[in-house]
Amino acid sequence: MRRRTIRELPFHLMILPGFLLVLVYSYFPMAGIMMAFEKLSPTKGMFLSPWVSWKNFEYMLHLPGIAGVLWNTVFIAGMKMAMGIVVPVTFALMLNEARNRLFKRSVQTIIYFPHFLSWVILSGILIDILSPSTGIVNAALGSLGIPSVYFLGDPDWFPFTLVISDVWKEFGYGTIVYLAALAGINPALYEAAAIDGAGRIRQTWNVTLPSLLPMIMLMSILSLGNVLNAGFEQVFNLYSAQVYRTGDIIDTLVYRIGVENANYGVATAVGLFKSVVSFVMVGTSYLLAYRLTNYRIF
Amino acid sequence: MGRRAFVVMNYLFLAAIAAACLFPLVNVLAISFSASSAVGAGEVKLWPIGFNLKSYEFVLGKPEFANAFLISLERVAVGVPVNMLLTILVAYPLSRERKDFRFRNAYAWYFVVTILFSGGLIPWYMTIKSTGIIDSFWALILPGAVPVFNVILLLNFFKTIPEEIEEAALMDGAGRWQALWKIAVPLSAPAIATLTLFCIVTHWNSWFEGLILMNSPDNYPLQSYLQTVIVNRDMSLISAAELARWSEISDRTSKAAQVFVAMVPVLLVYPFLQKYFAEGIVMGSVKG
Amino acid sequence: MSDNMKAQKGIALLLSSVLVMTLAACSGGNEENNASSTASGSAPASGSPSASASAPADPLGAYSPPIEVTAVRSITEGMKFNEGEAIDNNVWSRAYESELGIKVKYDWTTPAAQYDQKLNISIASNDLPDITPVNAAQLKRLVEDDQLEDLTSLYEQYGSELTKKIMGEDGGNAIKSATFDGKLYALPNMSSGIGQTHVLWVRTDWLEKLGLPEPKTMDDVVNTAKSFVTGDPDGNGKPDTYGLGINKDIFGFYAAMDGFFNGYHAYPNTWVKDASGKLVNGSVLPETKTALQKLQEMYKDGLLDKEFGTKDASKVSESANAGKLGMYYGYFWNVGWQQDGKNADPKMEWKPLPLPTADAEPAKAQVPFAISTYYVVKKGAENPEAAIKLLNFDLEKLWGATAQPDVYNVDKNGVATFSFALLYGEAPRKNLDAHLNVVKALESNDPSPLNAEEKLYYDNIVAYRGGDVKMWGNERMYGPEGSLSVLQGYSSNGNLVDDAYFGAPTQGMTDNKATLQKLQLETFTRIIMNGSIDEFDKFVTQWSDLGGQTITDEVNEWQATQ
Repeated sequence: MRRRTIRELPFHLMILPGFLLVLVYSYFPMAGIMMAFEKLSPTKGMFLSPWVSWKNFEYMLHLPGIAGVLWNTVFIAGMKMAMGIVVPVTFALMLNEARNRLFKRSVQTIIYFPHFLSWVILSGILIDILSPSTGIVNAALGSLGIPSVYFLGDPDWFPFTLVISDVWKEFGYGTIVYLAALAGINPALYEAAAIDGAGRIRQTWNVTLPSLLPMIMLMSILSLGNVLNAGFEQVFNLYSAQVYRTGDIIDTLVYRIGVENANYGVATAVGLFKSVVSFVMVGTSYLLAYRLTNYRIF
Repeated sequence: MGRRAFVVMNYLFLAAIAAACLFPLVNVLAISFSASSAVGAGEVKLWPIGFNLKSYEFVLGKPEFANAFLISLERVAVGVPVNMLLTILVAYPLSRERKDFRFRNAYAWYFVVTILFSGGLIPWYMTIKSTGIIDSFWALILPGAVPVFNVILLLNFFKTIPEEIEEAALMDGAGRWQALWKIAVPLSAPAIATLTLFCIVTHWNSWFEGLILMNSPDNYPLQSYLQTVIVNRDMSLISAAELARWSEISDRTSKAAQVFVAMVPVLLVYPFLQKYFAEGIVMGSVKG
Repeated sequence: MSDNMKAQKGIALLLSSVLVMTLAACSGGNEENNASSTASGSAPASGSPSASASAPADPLGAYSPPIEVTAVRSITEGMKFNEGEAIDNNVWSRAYESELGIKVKYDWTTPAAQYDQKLNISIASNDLPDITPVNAAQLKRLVEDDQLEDLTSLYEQYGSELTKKIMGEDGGNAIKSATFDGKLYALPNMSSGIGQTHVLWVRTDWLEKLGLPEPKTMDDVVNTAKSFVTGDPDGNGKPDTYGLGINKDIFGFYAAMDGFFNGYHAYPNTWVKDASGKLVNGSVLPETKTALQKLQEMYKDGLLDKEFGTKDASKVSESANAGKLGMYYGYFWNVGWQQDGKNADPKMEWKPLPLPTADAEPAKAQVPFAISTYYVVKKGAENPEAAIKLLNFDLEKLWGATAQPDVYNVDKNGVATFSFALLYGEAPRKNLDAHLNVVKALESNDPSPLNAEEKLYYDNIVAYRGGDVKMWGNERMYGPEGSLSVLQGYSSNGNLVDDAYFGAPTQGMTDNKATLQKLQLETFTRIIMNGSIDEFDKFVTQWSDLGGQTITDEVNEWQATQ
């Protein structure tokens, strides 16, 4: 027993600096979660402010239209999560098929570009190119005989516009992760498969995908933590009264409430609600994945 | 035949997607080189109209810009090594099996919980303030020093290293520290390069901490400074004075120039790191 | 720090004088941004040459030994300093030290856009400096949490005559809005609400081309819009022009519909007195429905941009600059946004007109409550009266008998030094008086009676008349036919409707305002875009149920105490 402790000592030492920094800068502030149950009085401080128990949560859950807003949030976030896995994996596999190194590297670099542009800037560009009357996207659709679509003004289209533009902006990030994973696949596996007479498609199916699976699982489970994060910056910069019905999300709602009155109790309550849901999602899927595949993602 | 058609289609498809990703950047670039009147009328698409360099003269000549740029460089130079060191140190023990490290599960959850739960802005601010680093450079480094998401990614990369390699080294008398630096790290070069890129981009792009934790705009890193320029386009804050200024250099052209100038350093680092992305193949040769 | 000093030195060289001068040409048109308001004067321009000439009476007496007070403030993007100077080293900060014995130390400074957020953090972590500029909602929270010093007796004791005169110029509403339970907790930053009224901006070159008169009635507005759409005013043979500009928020300051509604004697988002003397919200009154119905017709007839629902003010401005739009409602300084268009097409000519009316009754412009910034003193501050002394000093040097506008307002380098003052306030009529004085000087060709700021407008207008298109905006605001002449007309004819509620946000507003605003914007947008006009009646009921009635009750309770 003692020997084992000594043997594990280096591991503890390695973790120690990170452990302490996280303790101070992540765990100490978590005391603030109690503000979700208080009406904050700065002069009394966080620990002595009046206790209101579940009132902040009740206020949130009784906001008119909250059900629709919750649904919008889950719907938009869920689609983003799904597309956020499928698109980068597919793209990484396709990019992996391209043999020309210069081409491959250029594409890999370019698809990361949109990540650097903020939604404030992109929204200006999107409003132009997605306009039904003057935008180039609808002009292109028109030349294919498709009637023009009011991507940003039609409530039925708006959530999809959000998902597609978000995937377009961020898929470069995911692709890079999968490319790094692809680079880690042992070439011997391909050689063995080739000897067995597997063509490229079979190789992809039998070697590449299974090797990527842990990474795909990992990214999926982590992204489940975002089930209530539909992307504040993006929605805030792109939505309008016409699409409130399908486009208003928790974060934009809380923002509009907060603009008037900086209500930290409600803001913290909403944050805690989102955290608990994320925790349940991530925890469940973590256990499920472990039971089913015997793989621990962390 | 089928194969060739696939290859051609594949190239075309990839090129089309790349073009779609390039479009907004080219648009921003074109705006930065255009005359403000053309930009104001919404005429500029992919090519500058009324080509001029006034916006760049304006942006690069602004002392705030140069100052913020330097702070950001410093931040990356210090922050990224700190991030990577801590990421590696935390990820390695967590990538071991439970039989080797009994507490790994507890530690793993200890870190993961911080992704999911937070105390909110005010307690975060008060904590940082009480540790005495507010308004200092370290406020940009220490609170985010352990990027937990990256830790989880890296620990998964560490897991893919075949156990035999490490066991062989341990048999030869290497300690855990040596196993980490001599085997795990070199074999994970693509992953480490990727995460380094993410850390660089995160530090370079983050603006919120700067705005909240610095007590004077003089200490803002680049993106915080840019944020103040961009957010000032917010309708409620535009004064007639700022608007009249647009007759010379428009706010939009100068912001486009700022965005672009801010991107350049990351674009320069990128190809350099990219070299390592592809070098994972080395792993096979080590084994053989 | 020394890097920064060097940096500050560089800037003066790089920014053209135009930039610095236009800073001075700014207006108080915007409510959040007190530092961008201009200073000038109803006060005589001939200041005493020596600042120390004023007798050290108590309200302006110096501390001996000197004291230090802490403060925070926002720095606007356009704020420029003289070489080697900074926010804590300029003509004002030096005068505070030498003449008042007060050293102002800034705990933090931040760009205007971040100010509220940063201040909210300071408030929540109970970390206020001695003197803080706050907005009405913050003021209310601070009072409720007992973080502020009661200034009632100090103001009586230390407030100078000039300070009390300027503070009372609006009939005492400003002071009332800073008073809670009979105690004065803040010093209002006096400013003008009339700068936030609407005018109708019209392209007169299009009117001429199509042979149309200037619109005087709402029917004229509709007909003009129709001609602008169908008459091909840009002469490119394509029906690609809009009749009337409208942005996606419907209300606001640029291409907004406030002025349009006012034409139908509707005052949305404003509290007005009904026949029985009770306060009601203009958004839910029948006049608003009438105006909405008209907008719906215009939308149906293609006079409004079909896609207005996704376009914010700056997008609408792009259309105007591209020569696609010939008419919109907005603030008096909006023409500044059309300078790009004027540069590209010098034939483009915009003229501000008074609000057209739907009937024989002249239209009255709605005026929001003027005070948006208050200065508060932290409870337990060592020298709470220092804030009042600073305000006395600031107002004296800007508007008093010993005012030195060429030092403290806009200096000889064209630097807008007034923006460095910690506490600020101006007479509500400042911009209007500047306009009148400039016009008089233009008529007599004699700029000598003008103060430094007015002289800048004068020079710019003369330059414009000499052919410098870049100075067009100044002429359109301060010139004889400028937008300020329209506001002057509202003022002298009494065609204004003040927002009757000017207290702090009530509990009902705090709880429900966001919901009500969403409901209103959603409904109004839907109605304009061919929804059923009957939705308005449903909206009125919903508005009332979702907290509107509570707020109305609160507002009337408040009125009863006034």
